[in-house]
Parts: sequence; structure tokens; C-alpha cells
Amino acid sequence: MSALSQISTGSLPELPGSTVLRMDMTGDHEVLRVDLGTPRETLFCRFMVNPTQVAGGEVVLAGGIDAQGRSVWQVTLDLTNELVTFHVGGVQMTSALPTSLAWHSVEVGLDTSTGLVSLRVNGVPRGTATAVFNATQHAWLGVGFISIGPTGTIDVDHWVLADSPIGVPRSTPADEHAGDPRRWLVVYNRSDAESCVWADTYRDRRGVPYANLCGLVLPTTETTSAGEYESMRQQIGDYLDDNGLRDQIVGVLLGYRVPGYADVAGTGSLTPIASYLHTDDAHGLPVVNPLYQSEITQRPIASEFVSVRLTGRIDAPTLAEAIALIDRADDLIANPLAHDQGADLLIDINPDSASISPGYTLPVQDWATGQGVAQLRLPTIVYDEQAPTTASNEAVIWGWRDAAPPAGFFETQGGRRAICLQFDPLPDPAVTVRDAAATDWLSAAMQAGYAYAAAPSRAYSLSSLPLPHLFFEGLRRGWTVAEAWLVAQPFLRDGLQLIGDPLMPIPFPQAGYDVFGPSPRLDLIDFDKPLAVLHAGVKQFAIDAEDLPAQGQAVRYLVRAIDAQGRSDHASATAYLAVDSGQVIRPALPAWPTDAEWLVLERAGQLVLSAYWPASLDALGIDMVQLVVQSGSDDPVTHSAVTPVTGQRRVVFTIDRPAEPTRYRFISVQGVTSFDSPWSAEVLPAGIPSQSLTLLEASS
Amino acid sequence: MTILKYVDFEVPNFGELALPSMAVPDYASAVMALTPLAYWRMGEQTGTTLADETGNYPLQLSGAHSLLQDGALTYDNNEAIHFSGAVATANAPLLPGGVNAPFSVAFWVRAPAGPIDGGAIMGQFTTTSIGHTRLHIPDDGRLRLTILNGVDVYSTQQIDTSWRFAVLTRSGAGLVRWFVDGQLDVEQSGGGDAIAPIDFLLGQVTTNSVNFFLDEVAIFHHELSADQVRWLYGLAMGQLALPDGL
Repeated sequence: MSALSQISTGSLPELPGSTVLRMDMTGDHEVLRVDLGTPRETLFCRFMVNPTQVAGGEVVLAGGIDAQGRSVWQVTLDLTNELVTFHVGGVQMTSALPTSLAWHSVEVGLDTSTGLVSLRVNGVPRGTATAVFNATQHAWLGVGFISIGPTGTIDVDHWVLADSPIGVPRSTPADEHAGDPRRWLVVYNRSDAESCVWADTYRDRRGVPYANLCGLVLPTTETTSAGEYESMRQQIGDYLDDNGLRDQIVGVLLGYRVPGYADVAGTGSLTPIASYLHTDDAHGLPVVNPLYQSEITQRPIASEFVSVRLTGRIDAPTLAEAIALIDRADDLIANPLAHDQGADLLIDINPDSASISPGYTLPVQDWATGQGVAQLRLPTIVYDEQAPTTASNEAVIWGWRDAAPPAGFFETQGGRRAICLQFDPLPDPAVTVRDAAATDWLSAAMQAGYAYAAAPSRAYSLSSLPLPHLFFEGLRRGWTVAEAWLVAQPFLRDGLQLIGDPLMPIPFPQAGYDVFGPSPRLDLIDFDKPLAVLHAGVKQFAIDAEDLPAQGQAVRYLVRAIDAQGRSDHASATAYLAVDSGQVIRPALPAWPTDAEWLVLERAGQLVLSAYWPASLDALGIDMVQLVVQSGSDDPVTHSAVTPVTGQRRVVFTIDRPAEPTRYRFISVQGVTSFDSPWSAEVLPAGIPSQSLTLLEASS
Repeated sequence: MTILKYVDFEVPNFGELALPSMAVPDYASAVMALTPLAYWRMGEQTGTTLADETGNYPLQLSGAHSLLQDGALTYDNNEAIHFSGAVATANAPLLPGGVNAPFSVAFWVRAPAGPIDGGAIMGQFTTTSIGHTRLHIPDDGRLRLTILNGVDVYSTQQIDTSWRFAVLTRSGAGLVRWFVDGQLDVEQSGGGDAIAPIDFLLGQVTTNSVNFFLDEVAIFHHELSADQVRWLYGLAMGQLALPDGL
């Protein structure tokens, strides 16, 4: 039986093509060869290998042969111990190949002139050495030799031979934005087996390419020293450079059991590593955020991430809890927040402007008490004098408290809990997410079921405080949490951190109502400036006094229903309101004319002035309809009047064409109250062409 | 970076590769493909008969020995035999008798820990008579061929406690070569002496006691080429080389 076959069972999901080379361990030994033509002084060989369908034993599956046909180097897989070994010139380099990840990139490098040989697994150097060996002319791949024991199959794909380092097989992003998982580097800790499991889970759930999984040997402690952090920072940078990902990656996610804090000064004041990694700077100082947006305008694109990057962290006391953070982010997508799920916003804008820079508090207050927060279309509770003491089922909490959450703050567990952000650093800074007994805001929020939680790990400059109107507007526009978090921060690297899946957005409900007006005419309504933005559960709405018409005036309001997809065209209603003796009433106005400068009809040399009501005049309580004329600069006078009969919905006045420019309006009289229609366009005397007239004969 | 070759296996029948796939035989198959006169794998689990893979020359074993020793081949579970006084007899001459008759003997050998207790380990020898032939491992650990009143060739490399692949070849022109671990070690011309046509022995050929491990012994009535020796060594070690002609 042939050992080698081509199987279309699925290669790396992020790369084109689905066919792999399948090596059957129970078949004959068989290899594929490439004759490189001449002996290659420098050669790099890389292939992707999936050993998850084979058990036990050892197999030699790749190698090089010199011009005389002699073996130069080989690569073996120890399937029992999950190891890969590069053999060359008496040197052996071995690396772990944990099968918690399906596909692995294995790359060997040989330079005959210097004797330098190297092994790189999953894009990370695993060893270099010097050896004496001949130049490679033939490379092979296949089932060269196997020990007794292996059963099953090994899949191999993307075999590359080159004259310089190759790196992991990259997947080109389709999107310029950070929502594309190909723009994220996911760091996991090879020193912790569960970290590898988490990495593969995350890769599978988010579609992160294998090339973007950066497995490093890191401390297993949550807090690192300055030296350990510096090593980690450099390894991440090396990975980006070595694998050609520097320009592609816009975000770095620190995964489960990757260190999360650095004690750079050795004083116990911890800074989140995700905060530091916003830039490549070696120093630990805060920096101005070049992507901070004082007003949200455009979503940042990849080319703008020159000196700054997005970051994120997912960690928890246990692997299951870390995966739960992924689940919670998924749940927010599958079941978006809605007004009727008890999903409220709790905005605590303490402290007031006296205690923090007005530059921070005033925009926050404007946002929280104005239409800004209403854009999120959730019931909102704003605290501006005192801090809340409980949160029963708040989907979003943005707050400032001077202590860890009091006992019982999160009254219930779970529910619609999206994100909890608390920004007071003392006295209980968030310096761990791995300790299930921690009581700080970060841990408490995660334990309460939030998908995301943010809190500082140390004191910081208040100038660094993120601004909620920027953060939530980014989210409202569908940006990822990481993007919204970044653009909301005036300064970076100052001790603030956000835990949770940074690649995902938090969809806020779109359904609701937009109220526009007051406006004298519909066509004058500014649809960019709603009077009010309401969630879908609102059944009545009180107009502020300053937005009501003056006594005796009538204005239009428009209520536009927004559907769940944010579409505004499926329903709307208008209201024409007037104020009479301080009471807002709804006048019985004609259905036509409604707009100022309405056109007058002319038929057989006479003017025909018609008005229509949506219901019969008697049903509307209209006692009389008058026609008022205003010639030139004269005062308006009543030209004629009719008393409607039962069921009448239309009133028509037929009059002569005026002798001087004249305009007309209808007045409907309801008891002591009358309501004016808009004035018509001015009608010119006979013999003067008038654009205000509509000639029925001409058009019929 | 210059990509010399990129194969993603999307083209049917390995169409991205100019060369057809190559079968890689296991060591025993490769030996048999070289048409040995006799080939004893030494993997017996019990008994005193050592099977010949060709079916022609089973050996009868007597004396002190231990079966089921760890074998020499890296990717093969076949066992080896520890000879500690035993001798195995073929009841036939296996080394060719004619002057300049070519032949080869390939075997894997290692010494037990401690000083080497040297002596002849195989041959066609009964007395110190012309043409009686022995392959020795002297106390210094080198390999040696002697044909009485004829050639006497030592290897430069020495046997130790690790398995070594030893191949002795004689060409039709009387050129004698020792190969060790797939590489030519020494060669000496003028070695085409006639070999006495007496029974082939394996183990303690003379009264000198010897103590060593043997595995995968094969005799050929032709001269193995250097490429063939290297090919066999690579297959044994799990190192793929290209066989002669490829």
C-alpha cells in the first residue's frame, strides 16, 4: 500500500487550497523528492505538519541529501513524546510539538559556509548550532523511516524550500480593520500546557491563522520582572519581524497563562503588560495616543497603526473561566443586548467636575445626560451625585468608585452582562485576574459574569482616563472592543487594562425611535440632529419646554421608527403641535396644504383653492373654514368662509385671480381656537406669468 | 528570499514534483534486493537454528550465546545474538574459492562493555593451512581479514560497545576494502587469494574465545559498491540516502 496520498480533507483553514499530503504509517515507506539542481550552500526548508491523527512511535519524515547521494540532515517526529528533532552533522535540536495544536510550522535552516544550523517551530527559534555538513542538493518529504508503533496518518502541507528564512505561512487580511483576526497576534505560553489548549480554542473560535499564534516560553507567574517583560517584548517583536507580520498585525492579545503584569521598577507597582504593549517602546512611560479621537470620526485602518497597536488580554483563574470569556463575547453577538432583557446602562459619573479635570468630566456629563448615551438604546441609569450601591443586572457599568465593590454589589450572577469599567485605582487595584479570591473590580466583574472588565492596576494620571462617549460611540459603530478602547484613551501605557475578547464588538440594540423637530416644515427637519433618541421600549416621550412651539404657533415633529437592523425607512409618523394657553394641543389641520408656499391651482382663469382633512370636519370638531388673503403689504383679511356639512372632508374656494400679488391661507375654527395653514406661494395678477400657479388645463 | 520550490499538493498525482515518488525499503528488503548468497538476521526468539533469509544456508548454533539482544537497526525491532563462545556452522563453504573471486560480507557488530576479548568471529578455517580464512576482531578492536599465506588487511577504525556496520568487499581484481559505518576505511590490492573450500563458521571460529554481538550478517558473491554500502547503512540508521543510480 502506498504511504503517500493527496487528501482533500482540509488544510489550514486560513489558506487557499484544501488538499494535503497524507502519510500513512501502516503503508510502505515512500518519499517525494525535489532535486535542487545544484548543491545549496544555504537552504531553508519549511513544512506544515499535523500529527494529531497518529499515535506513538517515531517517524523520519523529511531530509536532505548531498550531491553524492548521502544523507545530510533529517527531521524526525517523536509521536509518543510530542517532539520534533532536527538532525544534522552530529547535532540534534529538539522542540516540543504539542498536539493540542493541530498544525505546526517546522522550519530548518542550513548554511554550509558558516556551519550554522537552526530549527524554528511555529515561527519561533528553538535552537541554533554549528555543525559540519555537506550542501543539500536533494530534499525529500514523506515516510522515510518509522519505528514500530505509529498507527494512523500524518498530514503535511505547504512545503517550501528557499534560500533564506521562510517563516510561517501567512494569511493576507481581507479587511483593513482590527475586526479581521488575521491582524491579531495571539500570544500563548509554551511553558503551560493549558495555554496551548486555550490558544487552539481561540484560534478555532475566531479564525486566527496559525501563523498568528505566537507560542513563547514565558514565566508561568502572572507578574514578571523588568527583565522578563523586556524579554517577552523582544520575543514578540522578533516573531513579527521573523515571520513577516510586522506590517500586518495591528493588535496583540495576551492569552491564558501569559504574564499579565510587569513590575518594572521593582516597587510592587504593577503595570498591565497589555498596556505596555500598546507601543514598542522599551521604556515604561506613558505616551500620547496618536489614535485618540476627540470626536469619533473614522475607524482606524491598518496603515494608521504605525507607532501604536491594539492590545488585549484573556486570562482567568482557570482554563474553563478563560474560555468562558470567549463564550460570553460570542453570546453578546448571538443574543445582542436589548431594552427588554433587563439590560441597563449604569453610568456613574462621579466624581464631579470639581475633583477631576473638567476636560474629562464635562464631556462625560454631557454624554451621560444628553443624547449621547441614548444612542446606545438601552434603559439608562445615571448617577452623578453618589455612587450606586448595587447592580442587579446591568449590561454596562461605567463608573468610578473609591473602593472594591461592596459585598452584594452584583446582586445576581450572570444575566445580560457585557462590560464593567471602573477607574478608581485605590485602594484595591486590579493586580491579578488569576486569583479567584480577589475582590477588586476586575475580578469581581468577571466573576459576576461580565464578558469584559476594565480597571487600573495602579495609580495613574487622570489625563489618561478613557472617555466613555468615545468608547461607546466606537462600539455603537460596530468596532471591536479593542478599537473602541484604544481611541478612547488620550494616553497609553498608564496602568489601565481591559480583560475580555478584544476582537469582538458589543452589539448594542439598534431598534428604537428617533424624534426630530421642532420644525415649521417637514423639509426643514435636520435628520442629523434628532431631538431625542429612544430605545424600543419607550411608549411616551415628553418634549422639553424649550422645544415646544411658542404660544399660538404650531410646529412639526417627526418620529421615525428604527428597526433592529438600524434602518430608518420602515415607519414614521409626524405630529403637528401647537401651544394654546400653555397647553400643547394637536390642531386639526388639513392634510393638504401642509407646507409653506404651497401652490395654488388655476382653472379656466380662476383660482381654485382646496383644503383636505384626514377625517370629516365635523368629526374633527371644526366649526368653520375661512379663506384668508393678503395682498401686497396689506393686512390679511378673511375673503370668505364655509360651514362644513356632516361628513365633509374637503373645502374648495373658487375666486378670481388677484389684481396684485396675493397669497392665501386657510383657517380652521374650533370653538374659540383657530389654526392656520401655511401661506401659499404668492399669486401674481392676470397677464403676468406666475410660477405659483398650477395650470390644470395645461397639465391635463 | 528566493523560493526554490513551493508545494501545496493541490495538483493531482503530485504533479507539482518533477520526480516520481520513491519507495524506501526497509533494511532487510534492501539487503535481499542485493541478492545475497546468505543472509542471517539473528532475530531468532528460540532454538539453535539461525534462519537464512534466502532459505539456502541455515546455521546450526552451539555453545554459549544469548538470543533476543537489542538489534542494530534503528527503525527495526529485529533482535541480535550475543556470542560468548558459541559457533554457528553452515555445513558448506560460502566464501568463494576461486582466485580473485569477488565477494562481500556485511554485518553489524559490537563488543560488550569492558576490554575486548578478541579473536576470529567468522570464516572458513580449521587449521593454519593455505587459504583458510578468518575475519577477526583483535583485542585492539580493529577489523581484520586474513587468508593464510595471503592477504592480511586491518581496518583503521575500531569496534566498541556501539553497533558498527562492517562490510568487507573483494573485487574481481583482488582489491580488498573494509567499510565502516557506510564509509570506506581502508583498501588494499593483491588480495585475490584463493579461499579454502571448507564449511563457513560464525562465532568462535578458533579456540580463542571471543565475546561480541552480531546482527544482520550477509554474504554476497559479488562486490558491493560504495554506494550500496552507504545505502544500506543509511537505511539501517534511518538516514535516507540516494541509492546508486538515482
